[in-house]
Amino acid sequence: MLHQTPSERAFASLMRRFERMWNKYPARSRDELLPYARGVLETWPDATRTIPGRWRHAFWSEKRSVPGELLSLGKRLTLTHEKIDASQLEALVLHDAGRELRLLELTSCELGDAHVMALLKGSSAIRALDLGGNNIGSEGAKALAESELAGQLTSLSLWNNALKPEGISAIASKRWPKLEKLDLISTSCGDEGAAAIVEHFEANFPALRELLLVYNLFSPAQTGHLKALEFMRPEERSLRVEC
Amino acid sequence: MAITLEDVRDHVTSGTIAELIKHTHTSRVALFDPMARIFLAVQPEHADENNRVDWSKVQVNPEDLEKPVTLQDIEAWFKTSPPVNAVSSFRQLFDTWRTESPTWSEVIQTCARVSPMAIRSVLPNSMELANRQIQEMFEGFGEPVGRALATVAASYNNASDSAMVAYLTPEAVHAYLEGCETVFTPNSLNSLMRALPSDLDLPHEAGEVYADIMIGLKDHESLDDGYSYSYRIDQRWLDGEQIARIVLANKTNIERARWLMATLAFDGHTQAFDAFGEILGDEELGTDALLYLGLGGEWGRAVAARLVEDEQTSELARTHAETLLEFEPPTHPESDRMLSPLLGHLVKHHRFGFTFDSMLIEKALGEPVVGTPTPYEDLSKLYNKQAEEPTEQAWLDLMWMIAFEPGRYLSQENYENAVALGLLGREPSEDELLRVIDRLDWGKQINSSAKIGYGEALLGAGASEEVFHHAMAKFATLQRTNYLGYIESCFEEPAKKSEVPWTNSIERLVWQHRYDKQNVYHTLEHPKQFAEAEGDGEVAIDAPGDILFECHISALVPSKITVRGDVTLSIDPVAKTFVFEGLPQTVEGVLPPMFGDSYTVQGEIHKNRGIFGVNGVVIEGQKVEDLELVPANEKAPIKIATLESSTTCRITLSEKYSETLGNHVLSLLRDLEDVQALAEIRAMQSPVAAYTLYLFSQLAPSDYMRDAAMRQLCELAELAEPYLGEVPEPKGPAPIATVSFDAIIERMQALSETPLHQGTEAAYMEQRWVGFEDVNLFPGDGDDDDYDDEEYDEDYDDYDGGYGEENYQVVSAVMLSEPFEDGQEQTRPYWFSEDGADSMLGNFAGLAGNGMWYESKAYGEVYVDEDRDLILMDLTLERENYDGWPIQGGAYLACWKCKEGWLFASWGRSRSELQRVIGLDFWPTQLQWRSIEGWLGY
Repeated sequence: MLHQTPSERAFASLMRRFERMWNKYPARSRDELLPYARGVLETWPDATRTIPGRWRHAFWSEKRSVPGELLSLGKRLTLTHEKIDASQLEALVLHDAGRELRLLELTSCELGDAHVMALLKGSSAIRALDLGGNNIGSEGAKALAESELAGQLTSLSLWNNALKPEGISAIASKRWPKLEKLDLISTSCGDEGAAAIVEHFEANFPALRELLLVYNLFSPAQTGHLKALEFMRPEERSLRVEC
Repeated sequence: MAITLEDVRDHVTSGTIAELIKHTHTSRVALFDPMARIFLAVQPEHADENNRVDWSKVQVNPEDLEKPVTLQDIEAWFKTSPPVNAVSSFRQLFDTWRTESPTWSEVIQTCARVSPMAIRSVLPNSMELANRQIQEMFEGFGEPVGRALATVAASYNNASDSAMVAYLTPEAVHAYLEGCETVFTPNSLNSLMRALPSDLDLPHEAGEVYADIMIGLKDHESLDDGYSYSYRIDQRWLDGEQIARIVLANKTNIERARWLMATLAFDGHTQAFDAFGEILGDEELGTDALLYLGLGGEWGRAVAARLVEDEQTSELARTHAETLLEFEPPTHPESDRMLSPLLGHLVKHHRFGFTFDSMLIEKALGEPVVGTPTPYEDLSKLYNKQAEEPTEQAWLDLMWMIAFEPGRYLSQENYENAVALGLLGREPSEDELLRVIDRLDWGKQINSSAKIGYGEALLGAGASEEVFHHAMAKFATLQRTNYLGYIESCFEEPAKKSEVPWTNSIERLVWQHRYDKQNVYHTLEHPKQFAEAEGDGEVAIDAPGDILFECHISALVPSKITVRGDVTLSIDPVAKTFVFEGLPQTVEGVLPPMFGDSYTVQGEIHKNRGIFGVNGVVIEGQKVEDLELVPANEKAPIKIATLESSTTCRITLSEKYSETLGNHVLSLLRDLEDVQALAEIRAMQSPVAAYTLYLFSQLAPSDYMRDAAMRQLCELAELAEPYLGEVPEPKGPAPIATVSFDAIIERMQALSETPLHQGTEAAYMEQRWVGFEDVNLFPGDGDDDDYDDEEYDEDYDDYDGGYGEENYQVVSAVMLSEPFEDGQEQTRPYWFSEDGADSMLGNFAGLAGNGMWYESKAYGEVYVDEDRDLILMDLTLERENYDGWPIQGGAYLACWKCKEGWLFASWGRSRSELQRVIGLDFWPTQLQWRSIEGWLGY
């Protein structure tokens, strides 16, 4: 079972089987099966290891008891249009399994700055973070930029949040050594925010390949400056700027 | 006229974009990018509180108009949460004809990912799904689309997307179930599950979600209002453990748990028996589960055997399983299959095996031959039924127009688009017809208001019989909704009107389609074939009374098939006709389409009834009754005879099981106090009926039921011997005790808390009577006492006919219709003679209390028992009300005797109450009745 082709579906059915085994033979599952599964699953892409739907709530509710060890086999958590409060988010990141997550997508979940603070309370292994469609403002953006995530994220999506120029400037003025994709579509960035990005670009975004900034009402001049970033990059590190 | 790029530019610069939006759909071919650019400029702040877009606020840079729109552009737009109305209009730029990126499919998937709340605005609506291209598009949608639909459903607290979700991929369906977990009602969950195709490969986890939902719904308020039937388990994607989890969660409501188990057993899924195995160790439901495993024949037994082997099995479950393995079920005499009363449901013949997709023409199509398109004006005339002698070209072009713009009116702009895409003017040919058929939307017509169906257009464009069949097969495979009247208006009526020589076979196919739609079932497996015979020119084989057979005739030559002695079915494949002879009435009809150079004839015979088919299609006059019965353990030959010795004839015989027996067991399982069902099982008079009664006599949960089952088993004499070790003496139906009229009154009073009505002048004659109602009072009379005369006069025009308020209640009363003179018993009433029972209907209408039904039609069944001096009628009453709408009612009539004379009962209350008043042990079984039809008048 573990040696099938990695896919979200295969992972989900694998987890279901695990859950059954766990209920029947908890000791054997923990001592023998789990370490073996961990080893094999290391070769699976993180994106295929999506937490199965009915486990998602296990992070923060007592509704179903899924063993924490099993939850930590999942590397990706996706939630859309679900209202989450900050304490739940804190519980998530402090949970053993939360610390194992590599990809976290919480889009249109009515998150605000307090949620971002909660998210940053635990140590985290997250590499890709998508918080699009929320109510995060400049404070949240600043907190993100100050966090250890800045050093480890490869993809950050904050589309459709009113980050304002201050929030964007906070992001632009920090170094994101591994960041390859930055999605700031419709973030009330403004010319001021764009200017900050242009100013710090070379120093703070060395790995960036994709910069999305459309729906931010830039002046033609600022649009020109942003597009010009594409030409500053050598061909082997090509950059796409949408603005 | 279609708009141009210059028009778009003018409107953009002059701030009159609203004018352009009307042309979105028609401009999608030539002006996709400029129109899309306009939508991509719409932002949330451009909409008012009702989500209407104020187009005057939308700013578009004219220089951007011609810039190609990419999927990334659209994704970025969706990320801004644009107004839903703008998204709906934007979607008009897309259809399945667009092949270059961004395609409709890409846009839907992008929307699902980043703007799920707008998903319904970009998807096709549920009326557009009977189209191959749309269905293929759905096959590409993964989890995000299912999740997005669920997100919207959850926010509106209404999970009613079954029509759409049914076409999605397993991952998407799973995501939908999961996302709507808290939104489903028993009804919406049912309608979704019903819509899902059985071959959908849902992941196991979806079963888990479904089980959670079902458990969550067990206390749903709608189930308290008599809608508990909507709470049933769809086990197609569940395993035994999940099913058992749902049943056990319901065990606080034992009736519900039993209803679930009863329906599970008959659904045609082996996992039901695994579930009963899981329940076997339960203190409350274990005994029920044992009974189900016993009824489940080989499937139940296999589970019991497995449980005995398994070390993990609980002690209680093991004891139960061992008990079951001690029973010796009988086997089918020919196929050796272990018999079970459920077999009629679990082993079914998919009626003679015809499938519409067998008529699809699969071939590589040649390139279209391009000619001159029919002028728009001519198409418009044809579309509006004003064309005289339209050409094949015109019909073909019109079909292409409708395929291109399904459900829209024909317009000049659409015409120009179709010309631009090269769809019109193609030379009519078989290939071209197949090509256009492939693009049709089978929920639409050419012009529904002018009643032009696709069939008329196909015939007009020169379609052959095979192409017409192909179109019917396309319809049958693509349109999953049971769209009443569509297949008739689309195919049958045009064929009849055109008088093509193959009209009759089209009618048979239409009938078959209706039949298939109404008879959807799952089976565990198909019947086992147990005998075969082959001969040159003719062949015969001995067959038991209940049988499924198939005859294969290797050439299209006439044949005569004989069953049950002298009933013959003569088939003429050339003239395409058939004749049944040897029945009380000769039945003639036409055959379904004949394909290839051979044909088959199928039959299914049970007791004295049969149903027959040719090439898998049920033939006209399909229900043959009054066949001569073949006694159990005897056989009758089935013969094929042709006049050509060079023809090879082959007959195969397969098992036939009674669905009726299964139905009686089902009704018993749903109500374990229903001893009548035991009598019905006994009346089946077969080894499997005896085994079923034995199972109930040993395993039924109550002593009452066990005793009743044993009594019925004893009535089966030799058939009961294997279980009782001796041949019991049947006692026959219990005689009816002759009691006094006063005793009858007491029995009736016991059924009601309010005093009965009584009198001595029923029906204006000197007849003593007792009733729950006054038999002499016209319906409604009692309520008219306090009306005001003046008002009454004023309202007279609206008065509905003279009976006061409408009351269709049938009187429940018993009267002494023929008293014995001087206490001396007289001969039986005339009603006991062969045709006399019909005149008993007159007595019903003679009661003023039944006046509402005067001169109504009555039909149903009558049971005349001379040994017990008893007549019973079970009638359906039918009449029109004063608005001309048909209304129906039901009544039981009875005649028997008391010490004082012969009694007549008119009964609108329940059957079991009448049974108690008469003192009848069992109601007569279904096979003891004959049909009756008459009028309720003097």
